[in-house]
Amino acid sequence: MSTPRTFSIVLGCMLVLFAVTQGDCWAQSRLTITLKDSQGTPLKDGVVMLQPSADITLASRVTKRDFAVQQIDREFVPRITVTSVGANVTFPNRDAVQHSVYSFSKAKSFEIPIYAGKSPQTITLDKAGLVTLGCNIHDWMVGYILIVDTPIAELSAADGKVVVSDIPQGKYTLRVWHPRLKSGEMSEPLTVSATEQNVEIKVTLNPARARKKPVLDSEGY
Amino acid sequence: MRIALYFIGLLAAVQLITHFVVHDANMRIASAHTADQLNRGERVLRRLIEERGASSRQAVRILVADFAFRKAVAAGDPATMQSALDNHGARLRSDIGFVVSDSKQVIARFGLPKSTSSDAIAEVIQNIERKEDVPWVALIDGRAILFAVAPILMPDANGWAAFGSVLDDRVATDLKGLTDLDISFLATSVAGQYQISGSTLAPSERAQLQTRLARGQAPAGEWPEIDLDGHPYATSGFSLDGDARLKNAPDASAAVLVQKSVEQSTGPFKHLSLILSVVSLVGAFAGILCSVWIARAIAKPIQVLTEVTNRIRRGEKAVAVPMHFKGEIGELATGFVQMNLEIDKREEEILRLAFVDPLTQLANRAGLMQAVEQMAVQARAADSSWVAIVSLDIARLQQINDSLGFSVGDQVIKAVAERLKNFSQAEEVVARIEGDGFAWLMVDKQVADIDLRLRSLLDEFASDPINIENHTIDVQLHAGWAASRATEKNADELFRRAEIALHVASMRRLSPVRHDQSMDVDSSSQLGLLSELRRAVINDELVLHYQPKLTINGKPAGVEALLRWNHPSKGLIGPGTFIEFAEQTGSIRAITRHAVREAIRQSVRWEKIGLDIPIAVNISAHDLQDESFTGFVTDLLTSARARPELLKFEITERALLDNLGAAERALKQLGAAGIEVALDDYGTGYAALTHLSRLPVSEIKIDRSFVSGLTAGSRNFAITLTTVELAHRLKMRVVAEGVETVEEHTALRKIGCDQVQGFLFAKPLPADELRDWWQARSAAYVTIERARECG
Repeated sequence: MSTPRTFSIVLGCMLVLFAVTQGDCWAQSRLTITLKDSQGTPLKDGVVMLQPSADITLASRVTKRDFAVQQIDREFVPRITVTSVGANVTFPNRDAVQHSVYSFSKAKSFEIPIYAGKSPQTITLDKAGLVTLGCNIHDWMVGYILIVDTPIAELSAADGKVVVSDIPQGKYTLRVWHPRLKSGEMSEPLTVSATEQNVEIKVTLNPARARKKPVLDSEGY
Repeated sequence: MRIALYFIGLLAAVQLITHFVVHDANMRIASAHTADQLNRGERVLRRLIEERGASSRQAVRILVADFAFRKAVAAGDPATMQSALDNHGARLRSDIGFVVSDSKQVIARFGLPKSTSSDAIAEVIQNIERKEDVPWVALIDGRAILFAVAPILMPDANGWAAFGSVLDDRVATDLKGLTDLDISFLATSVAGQYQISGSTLAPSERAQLQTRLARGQAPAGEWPEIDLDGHPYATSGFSLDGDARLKNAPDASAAVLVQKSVEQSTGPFKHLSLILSVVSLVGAFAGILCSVWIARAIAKPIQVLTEVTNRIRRGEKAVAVPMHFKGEIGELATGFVQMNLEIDKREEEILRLAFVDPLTQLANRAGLMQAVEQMAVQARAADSSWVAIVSLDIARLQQINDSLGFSVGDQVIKAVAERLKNFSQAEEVVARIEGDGFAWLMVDKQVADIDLRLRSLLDEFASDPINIENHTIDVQLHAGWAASRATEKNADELFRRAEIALHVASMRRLSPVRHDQSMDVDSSSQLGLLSELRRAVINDELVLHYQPKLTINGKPAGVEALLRWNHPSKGLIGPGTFIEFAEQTGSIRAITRHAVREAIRQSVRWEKIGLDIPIAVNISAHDLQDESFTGFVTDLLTSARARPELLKFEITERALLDNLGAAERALKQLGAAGIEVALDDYGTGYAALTHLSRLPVSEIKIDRSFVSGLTAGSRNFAITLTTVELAHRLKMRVVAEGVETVEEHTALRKIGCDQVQGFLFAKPLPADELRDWWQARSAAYVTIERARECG
């Protein structure tokens, strides 16, 4: 046992003490958020974002930095990507046909002339916000890149659930986004206090727009 | 003229019916045609409006697909956006266009006047996201606009673009050109009412339609006819929102009203009706002309011929048809004239036959009467003093007929007629009245001359027999006559008097006899008597009384039935006053039959109580001449089941002699039937008894004139005795009538008379009294006989 070790013990004791005196300041929780639509059906592909209050320091858990949005069978794959500011994205074309990917979004506006094969450009997403991807050739193709500035942002699974482990207890702002969300994005305050906390969020959606995608024949045309 | 009226009426009726039928058919056709037109018009309009919407939709889709436009929208660059909108709007000939942002803000627009507020548009674009791909009509500034909406995909829906065509008068007129229907576009206003945005209707009609719509009276149902400013319209409508029919309340955002002017669709038919009316009128006029012509051609001749037949009916002779007609009418007219002539000819013949006796070609009774009237007129005019009628008959013509046959009898009549004709003067008339009766109308200044001429005529007949078929026949005429001043009596009266005189003449067997007042005394009372006598027979006022006949020894042998008239006011009347009269007038036949019927009835009644009383009934010469008399009697006997031997007849000697032939026949028939006949009043007719021997007479009744005061040794005693002896030799029974004294009875017994009858024994008694008398007398007789036998 050396002095730093002793210091460590002391510090540890202090922290414990602090924790005791400061309540659950250091307590960790496991938060399960379930998204449901107005009919109570679990909602897939919703993005749940958590913005902690100022007193909570939380490192960003959004890890996706450089990624690709591919075009496969005239669809963007993945359709929805969650990323953080500063990420670079490429648009490799896996189809036999050419595509021309564009975005009129304020977060990032660009236009890639028609191409085949690998992505002719790398786009740097330097602002938070939504980038709606379209193809100038195929009107039905829609893809979304949500560039978040929150430490936590996750897509809901098929059961509508997002599980966040080990987050400090305290006050948060919960934000939900979905392509068909009626109000665009919803947000509400959330206090995390229990070790196992379940939150159910109901959202109202716009009706799904009919996407008129022509069926290709066997040769891919 | 009636025919003409019928024709015209018929024609008018046919044309009226035709007119109405055609009119009705036309209206049906027009209505069906209109319905069909509306139906088809509606389908065409739907299609046209759909296409209009589709082209707007196409236009707006092209706009929203334009990358540069989208880029401009995304960039929020108003100038670029506006120019792109203007460019596309002009290129696609849209009237109105606008762009709406994600947050439903109008960010660009064209074709809308500056005055149009954004709020008005905002109202329209509420729920714009639902109006993609649906025909959508909105009302802006009172104009219905058919919109097409498309989302602006960037690539998500980040706004909408809309292009619209104003459904205004221009569009309506355009569509009217294609469908030939009146078209009105209705759009729902904010107030929830239909408002007309465009129409082909005239302003006044359009205003009325708007009023109706404001009252919520949108046309409903299948082709209702609505009236707009006095013009009827067949109306239909459809909603632009879907396939639904147009309903009363505006449940659709917009609708189209299709209308067809009824006047327009029925116009051609109205024209047709007018032409038909004109044709009808012309036809009716022609019909009137034809009818009048027909009336002239047919009715006029019929009128003329009717007048002709009326004249023929009135008895005009040789009526001529005053007009000349052709063809069938002409033949008919000729036929009428011919018929008239034939009728005249036949009438003359009938008249001639009516006044002429066919056997002698002399006038008959009617002819005589006619001639008397004419003669009287002429005599008066010529101041001839006397007109006489002589009634004549041929004595015993019946005998001639019976012995020599009717053809000889007829020839006798003809010969007499010829002689009479020769004896008469030119202006005089000889007539055959009936059978053997003639009448001679004489005119002379002096009555004495008439008498002289008649006497010479009768002398001529007496001295100069008529020769017929080798028979020389003595013809004796009876003549009775009456004369009067030409101015005095009528023909009937004169003729009647002559007949009475003739009757007297034949009774007296003395001719000629001139009628005098004494013969006439009873004429009027006799006329009354005649009718009363007829009534008496009908009313059963004639009753029989029975006077007994007894054997000379006093045994009841029979009765003679004697008629009594039980007159309702005059009481019981004896036969003397009416039998002779009845014989003269011929009503004796009915009276005799009545008496026979009564006698048979009485005989049967007595027979039933065990009295076999022979009843004798008097019959006259008339009855002998009546050939049905015997049959009548035998029928009566048979039906009454009476015994014929109890019925007897009595007939006067004179009646028998006057009709010897008929009497012989009748008596034989009666004898054959088992009925005995007695000869009454024997001795008054001076008939030789031997002459009667061939007649089947079983009894003679000696007239009371011989019996009265009969005593032994008197002249009548000798005559009666001789008669009785002769009668007995001829196997006839002798009955004495009118026995009133015992002396007479004693004398008759001496003479050998078989039976007696008279007041000495009994007067005529009613049936009941006679029965009592008979029963008493029979009993008494039996007593007397026994006494005599014993004594």
